[in-house]
Amino acid sequence: MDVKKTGNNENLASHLFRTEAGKMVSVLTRIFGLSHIEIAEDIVQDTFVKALDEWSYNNIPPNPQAWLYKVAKNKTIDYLRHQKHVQEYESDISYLLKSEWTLTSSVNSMFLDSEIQDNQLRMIFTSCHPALPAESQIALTLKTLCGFSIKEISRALLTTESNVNKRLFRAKQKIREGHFKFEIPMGDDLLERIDAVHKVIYLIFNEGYNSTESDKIIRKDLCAEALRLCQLLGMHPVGNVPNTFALMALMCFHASRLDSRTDDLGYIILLKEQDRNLWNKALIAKGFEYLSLASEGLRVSEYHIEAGIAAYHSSAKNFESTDWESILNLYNMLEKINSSPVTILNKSIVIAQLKGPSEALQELLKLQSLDKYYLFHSTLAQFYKELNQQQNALKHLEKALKLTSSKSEIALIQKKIKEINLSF
Amino acid sequence: MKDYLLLFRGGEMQGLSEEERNKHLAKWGEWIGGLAKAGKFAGGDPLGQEARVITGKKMAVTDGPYAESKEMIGGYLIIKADDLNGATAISKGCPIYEVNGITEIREIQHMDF
Repeated sequence: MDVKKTGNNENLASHLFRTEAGKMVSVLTRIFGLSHIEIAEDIVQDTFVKALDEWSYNNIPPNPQAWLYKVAKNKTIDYLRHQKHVQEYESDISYLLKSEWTLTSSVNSMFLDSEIQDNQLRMIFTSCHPALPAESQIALTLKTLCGFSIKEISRALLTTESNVNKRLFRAKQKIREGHFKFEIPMGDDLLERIDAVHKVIYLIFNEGYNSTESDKIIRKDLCAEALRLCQLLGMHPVGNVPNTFALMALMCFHASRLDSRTDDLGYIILLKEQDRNLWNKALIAKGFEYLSLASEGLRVSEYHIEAGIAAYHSSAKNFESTDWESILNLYNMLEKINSSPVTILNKSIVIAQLKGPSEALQELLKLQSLDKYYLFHSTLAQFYKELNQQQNALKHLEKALKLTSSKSEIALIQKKIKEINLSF
Repeated sequence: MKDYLLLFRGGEMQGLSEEERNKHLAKWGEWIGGLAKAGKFAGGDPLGQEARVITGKKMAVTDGPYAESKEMIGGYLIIKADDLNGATAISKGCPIYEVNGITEIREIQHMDF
């Protein structure tokens, strides 16, 4: 057997797993009902095991997706036949699954493109249900829609596998006890539910974008999955709203810088020092496309403003020529909507560019609530350093050092400490 | 509501092309789906062609159904209806008559000892 080829097959299978697992789990959940999500997950898992097994010996089938669907359909029909007189399903097609007159055609019809799309949306709204705790929403979304294994989720969320299992277990319990319906919300409910979905997508993206501890491949996958889910939402009439596009724009702009944010060893490269030639031009262009779609509404969300800020950074030729004035205006707007300390912290960095470190320092010192946040201290240190107050700068860098356990953040702070010590 | 067994006999499916056949079967799906939505469907399956018949105390076994193919049972369905007339009305919606089939409608008897 050709080793290289096997490797490719595994890559293809794992790529397909990401894109197809969520589709298949969603469709099968529609068939079995939300109380039986596990059956859906097991069948999808078995389907991929079979794919890995057969594709490594034979050639890859000409249409791998169709192959996967066929296997999943057959496994589903087999399962339903075995359980025919035993198990009840609460889905509204359950009666059609109990008769051979309609079993196969019903299962087939659930795999039509339009059904796949609808069912993925149903799954998004279920996994991001506001009644579930935030941490369960993310874990469940990654599991049911993105084909992440328990191990991958634990690596992505920097927690243990048993913790992930607990979160998923609790989420599924809540879904059963709360008699959640596997449907796309409508009417008054919709707005709030979409907000919740946006939030989860945003969190998944941030998990990938901001984490400096989990490995690079997982982080890229998280960002890609957040983009994929958001795109999926935007393609559906229900999710086709300005906020979806604003979020999409924001993520495109950020994702464009993913490769230039860290060096080969995974250490952080600051915006100022990033090689802007490495920024992904196609993603930036996409970001602007989505931003213009996002501007069709009347409601300006945090995503709009954050996307706007990111857009200014993306269109600046270099750090110095950045339109800090406009960015500051946007931060002021953002502060009105959401005056979180982190927003003000970021704003102070912009003030430093426009008005110098002294004013920025005044702004930042108001934020004692961030005393336990390493970025608060490392930013303070930066301002003190620019004001030539090296002792204060050192003091806050030491504090920052104690507040993070991330290797690359520690390395960055130590580098700054070294620079100051050398300047004495 | 009572349960009724519908026995489907005959139906000239052999002469149909694959496309016509699929079209015809899709009508069955639609019909049964409609019954199910209305809460009138309680089960049933199509049956295969091959059969054995066992007769009498000696349990004599013969191959195949004893009737001609136009009377062979091709499947069954259990539906819910108020009475025999209701069940008959429902059964008139079955696509089997398009292929000259026959439906026999029988109430399912409760065995109360």
